[in-house]
Amino acid sequence: MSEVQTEMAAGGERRPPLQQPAVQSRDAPGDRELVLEIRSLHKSYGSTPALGGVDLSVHRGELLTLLGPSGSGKTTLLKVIAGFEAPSGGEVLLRGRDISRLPPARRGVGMVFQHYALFPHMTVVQNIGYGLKLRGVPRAERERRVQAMLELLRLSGLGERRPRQLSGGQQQRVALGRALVYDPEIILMDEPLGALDRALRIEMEREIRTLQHELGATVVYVTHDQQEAYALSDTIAVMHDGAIVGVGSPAELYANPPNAFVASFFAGSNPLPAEAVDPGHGGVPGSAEAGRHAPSARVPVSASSERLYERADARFPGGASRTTLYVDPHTPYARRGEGWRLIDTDGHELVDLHGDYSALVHGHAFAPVLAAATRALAEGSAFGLPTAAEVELAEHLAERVGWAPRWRFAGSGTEAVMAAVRAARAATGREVAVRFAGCYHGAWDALADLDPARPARGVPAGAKGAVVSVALGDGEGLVAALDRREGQVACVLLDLMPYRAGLRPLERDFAHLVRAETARRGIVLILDEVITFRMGAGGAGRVWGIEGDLVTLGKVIGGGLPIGALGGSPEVMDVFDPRRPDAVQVAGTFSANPVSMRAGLAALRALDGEAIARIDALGERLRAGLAEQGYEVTGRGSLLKLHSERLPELWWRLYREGVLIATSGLACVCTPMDDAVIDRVLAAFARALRA
Amino acid sequence: MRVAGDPFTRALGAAATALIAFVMLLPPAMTVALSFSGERFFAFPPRVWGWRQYRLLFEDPRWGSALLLSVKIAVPVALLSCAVVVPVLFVFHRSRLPGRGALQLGGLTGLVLPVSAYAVAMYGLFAQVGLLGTYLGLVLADSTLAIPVMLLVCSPAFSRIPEDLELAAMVTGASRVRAWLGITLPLLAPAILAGAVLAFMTSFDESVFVVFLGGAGQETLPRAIFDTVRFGLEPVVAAITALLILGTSVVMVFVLRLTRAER
Repeated sequence: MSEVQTEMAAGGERRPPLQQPAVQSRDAPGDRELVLEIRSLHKSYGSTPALGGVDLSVHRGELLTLLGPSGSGKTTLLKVIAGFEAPSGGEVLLRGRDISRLPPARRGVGMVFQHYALFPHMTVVQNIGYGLKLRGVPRAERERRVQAMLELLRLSGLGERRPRQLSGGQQQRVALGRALVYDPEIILMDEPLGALDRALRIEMEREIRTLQHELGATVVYVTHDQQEAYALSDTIAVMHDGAIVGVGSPAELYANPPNAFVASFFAGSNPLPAEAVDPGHGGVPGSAEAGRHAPSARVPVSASSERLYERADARFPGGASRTTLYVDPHTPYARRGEGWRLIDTDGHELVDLHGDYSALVHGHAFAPVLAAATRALAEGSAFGLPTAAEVELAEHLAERVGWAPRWRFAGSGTEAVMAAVRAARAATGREVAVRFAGCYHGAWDALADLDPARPARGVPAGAKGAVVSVALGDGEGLVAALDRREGQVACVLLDLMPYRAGLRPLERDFAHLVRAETARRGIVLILDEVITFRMGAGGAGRVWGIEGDLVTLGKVIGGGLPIGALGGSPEVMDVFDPRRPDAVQVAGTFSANPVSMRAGLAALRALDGEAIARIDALGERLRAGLAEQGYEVTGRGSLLKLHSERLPELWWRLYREGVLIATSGLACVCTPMDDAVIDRVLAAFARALRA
Repeated sequence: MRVAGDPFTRALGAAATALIAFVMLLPPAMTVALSFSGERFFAFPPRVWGWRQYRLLFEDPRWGSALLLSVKIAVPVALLSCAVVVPVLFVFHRSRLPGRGALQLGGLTGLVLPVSAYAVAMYGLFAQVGLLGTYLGLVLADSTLAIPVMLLVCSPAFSRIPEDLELAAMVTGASRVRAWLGITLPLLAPAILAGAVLAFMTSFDESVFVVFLGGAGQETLPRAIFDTVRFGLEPVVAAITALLILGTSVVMVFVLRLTRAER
């Protein structure tokens, strides 16, 4: 054994060889062994402090990201850990051993540099084997381990190439291999994806994550990119002015920022490039300032969006695919969104109170959803097999709706309602479905009529033969209707705050009467929570204290992607069990697709009780403010509905003033909003009133 | 930014090219032509062509010994330059030595000062320490010119080697010295070789110091040419010059290739 090897052995040779990667459970960090500990670390250059008392712990198998703007000290911290800079005070402990005075070579760390720093005069094999050679690993052993690393990194066959003969992604993998091959205690990565283009970055993010899991590697990762941090990290440490100002899981930090800096840093996260507004459209840059001054200057529409409308009008009856979006003479076209902002094709900036009919509870391009969905997309958007993603989302939903342990996913809320009615009929062996007049339960023929007096065109009378409408809030009428059809009613559909019927919270007594009457008669109560689920961590049902037999969900649970879900007790839900000879059929090619599942999970994780309380409070403020201005507004929590005789005109006035609501008057608050946004909205409403 | 296709720019470019070709290439071309003169005296164009000058050149032992002395001085100068320049490069580029900028500038004085002034100063110094007219004296004097030349060639090449490579080597397990020897030096090698060749050429071509500082017997090639021209114009000078032009051209192509290969 050479001297070099003796020196290195302390840091380098303890871990199991690559062929048997350590089995790594993704437990809470606290259960795992502490690898790196940093205690009140200080660093100053002359009199300029670069790090002011940093404390940090990294556990075995954890990927911790140092996230912060440039100049926040994250790279300095990494350099101190690597040994390129000596700390002015404090300790760096690697597995309990103070390494802060050791030269880099003797620390037992591996590092991946921003521009890879591959040795250009060496082949891939020589680059990867460099650390082993320095450690005096015998040639045969060295070759074996380098080959294993090449295979792991999918670089087999490229071993004799020079770095400049490799693509960016391949170089990146060689750099990883060079750092991994000698099994360092910890891997440091300094913006390793900074030099790659966007598509490759996403792929490399996934690859780094997979490798890190496979090897159980402990990683400290430096980036300034929130999305990257989201996609990769177990833990994020946000740095600002040489200090760590927030530590936690990505979801924790987003949902509960510990201070204003973390909050603003995440809120300011702009996943879309700023230049996305096409200057060719004569657009106004998407800044708040510009938006504030833009409305009166232009709008409704410019020549370019008129041309788009002309093209659309030739292809769609009414100029757009979605009927519900129509407003006279025609709707403008959205270009992009970020947070609560929506920018149309003319560059006009709006506060989005529409949120696609309340589905976008976190606004547009919400970073955790974006990261989760793009990762899921990169891994394959749909399979002929179920995925872990659907299990996780179902588990999450079952936790929220305690009485609904069994689930089925669907493509939309409409589909979920269809399946629910079918399941109820199959479970009870009865046919009649009861719904309340004026309530909307999706586009299905049988439930299409909002008003029994005005049958929907195109829907045959037979389609709704077994559906009975009862006046909303009329307890006696309901009891009478159920009595009349004793033994025939399969289900009652109940929306606790039906939006088409006015978005007024249902009387608690009436809701409980429905529950009692259905329970007494063995009727399945379907809680339609497609819109109301955002009203509480356990949905509106929990708020009203009502448990259904089935619940239908949609909108917010998909994080902005198409989704529907149906949950309930085993007694009803098990009619879908395909092992039963009489199993009820529900199908859907893209049901439970992993992209919607992952996006939904990311969205719901960030929609905890506290987030809901926050948007509810903002919603109440908005509602109170609007009522004060003389608007007629109903709703509860983050959901609002405006009532007006001249809704299309009001819609346009608000649009010009920079606020987007639904043409039906629906409006909602999303989590990126704050009091300042509500102020801005209230001011716009006030101007719209005067206009 | 260059404006492509602008007729004025194009005309200007063509004129400049022609001028450079005329000024730079005409004298050497004439010299080469003259070297094939079959006459005893300088005359252009020669009326008789032949190998006469080359025959004279190789028959006269004076030229051979002058060439030998030039090489004997230039080789140690090149080696000494390497020995000084390589460590200095690491100091300039990798240390936080205060005032290293001033030092770098100081290293280039040999190039900036008029050579004759420099030679006079050196004459005074060498007279004090007894280096006048010595072989060592000429090697040292030429080195003061060759070292800055080599620094000028190698320094940009060093700047192009990212320090991250050394840091990567160090974090991977190398000491600083090992990182320098194993990573930086091999990457710098082509530039060092190119610099050494230019240092050699600088000394080989040196004609002022040898006049000031050299002794009676120290006749280097440039001095022999100089003296020949001074005491009577013989066409044999054209032959030696033509050979020098050829040699230098070959060396320059070699150097250019090295500096390009390093990219």
